[in-house]
Amino acid sequence: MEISQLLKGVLDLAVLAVLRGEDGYGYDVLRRLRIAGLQEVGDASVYGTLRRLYKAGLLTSYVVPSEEGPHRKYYSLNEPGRQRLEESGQTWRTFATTMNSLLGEAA
Amino acid sequence: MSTQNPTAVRVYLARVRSALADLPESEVEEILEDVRPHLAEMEAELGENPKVDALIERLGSPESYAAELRASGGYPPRPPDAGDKTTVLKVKTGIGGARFAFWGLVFSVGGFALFGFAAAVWVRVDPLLGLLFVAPVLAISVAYVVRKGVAPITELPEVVKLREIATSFQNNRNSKGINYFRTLKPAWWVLCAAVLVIFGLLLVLRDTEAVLLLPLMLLAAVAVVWAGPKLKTDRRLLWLAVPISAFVIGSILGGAGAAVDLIAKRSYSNGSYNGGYTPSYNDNYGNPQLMYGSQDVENIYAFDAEGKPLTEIYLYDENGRPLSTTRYACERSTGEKRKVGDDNRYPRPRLERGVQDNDGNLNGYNGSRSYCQEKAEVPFSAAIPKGAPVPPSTTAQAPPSSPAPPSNSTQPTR
Repeated sequence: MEISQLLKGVLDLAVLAVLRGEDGYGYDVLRRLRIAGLQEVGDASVYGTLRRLYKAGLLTSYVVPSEEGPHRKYYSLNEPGRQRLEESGQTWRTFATTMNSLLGEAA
Repeated sequence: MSTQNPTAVRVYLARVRSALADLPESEVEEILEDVRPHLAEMEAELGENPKVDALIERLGSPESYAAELRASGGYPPRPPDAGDKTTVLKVKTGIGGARFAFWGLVFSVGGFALFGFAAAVWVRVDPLLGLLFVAPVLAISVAYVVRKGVAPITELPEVVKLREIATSFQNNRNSKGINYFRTLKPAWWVLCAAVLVIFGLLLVLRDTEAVLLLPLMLLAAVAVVWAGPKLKTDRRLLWLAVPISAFVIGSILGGAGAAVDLIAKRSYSNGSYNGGYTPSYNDNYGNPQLMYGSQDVENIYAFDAEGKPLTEIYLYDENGRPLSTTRYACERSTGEKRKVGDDNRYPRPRLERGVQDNDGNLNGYNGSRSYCQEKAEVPFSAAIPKGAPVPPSTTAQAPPSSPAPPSNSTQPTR
């Protein structure tokens, strides 16, 4: 099964998760996801997801000028975002448990 | 890394932007703000002046990148007939036009320079008619640029490559020289205008029909002075200023060529430059001909101070060079004249030619055979005015070297 297919469903959750501890600009988010082990995540998908979450009111953004390049637009998790992370996280855990037990039986 | 986006990133982003052209502009700007720092860092990783191809290798084509943004960002897919709302272009469909506009400019520059050169080097109007072939190409290019702007052209792969070469050239060299030329730019536009006006006037002097051309030259002069300083802000004016500059450079070079030619001719033949037409001073046999002013001299008769004709004289120039010309004689069988040699003995026998009939009557109505007769006598007498200054015979000088009369003088060669 291709991870990229799985990612489609959970990328929102993953992005919210990496922003929970610390704000980050687009490339930060991408890097954190990769470092966490999601090598397959597509660059443009992350940026698109950020925009979608922002438009859904789950993120706020602010711009920080950079001395050595284009300015950076940081995203941070707001209250609705945290709530969503909470709910989606719960959903995922339930889902994962179900899948695990399913696979455990099958194995 | 500098704060301005280097070329490859800019090109890549412009293509992404154009692929998102149907989305609200503010939203596209927001997306690109997220993407831009990433591309900038990626570019820094890739080293000095990376190619767009290198970015494409890492990220995929800008169009597929945009498609992924749409899918993940919940944006609508691209409508099939995405009109360009903003100044951005549809790269895929616009590239042919952009390419034509760019190469049309290159072609026009060549044409303008060439025909300007030709017109100047001959100081003639005719070569300018050649511009009629160039003008439509330039006109189409200009139409494209005016409608679509230069952005599509700056993204052409060949243009990007050229700019890369240009920037690396600038970086490698001390930019002082280039800066110096930059300061000269305003002067260049004025020079262009001056050359156009002067050239136009010169053409009118040569050929009054060029009066029709003069307004065009004046218009071009005004246009180049107007457009030159604005180039920085409106690159579309390149399509006006560059061909005119090329024309001016061509005509300056042509003018220089004509001047060199003129000077060379002056010092060579000491005079009458008559505009491209060089009369032949040689006869059919390749021998030089005698000239008096601009007219051929066929024969020379000499008289002494008493008015007595001298029937055998040899002519030399100031260097003792014999003034030999082709000697003709009659050919009995055909009645034509033919060459029998060349020498410097004058006067030559006169060759009388005509027709004769069977009874030997000359030039009659029944003349059927051509004839040719050599007449040795002098056909006129000269009255030498008594007051004419007669040089004392004692001061008569021998030629510097006294050449012997040519030996082959009057002998028929066959």
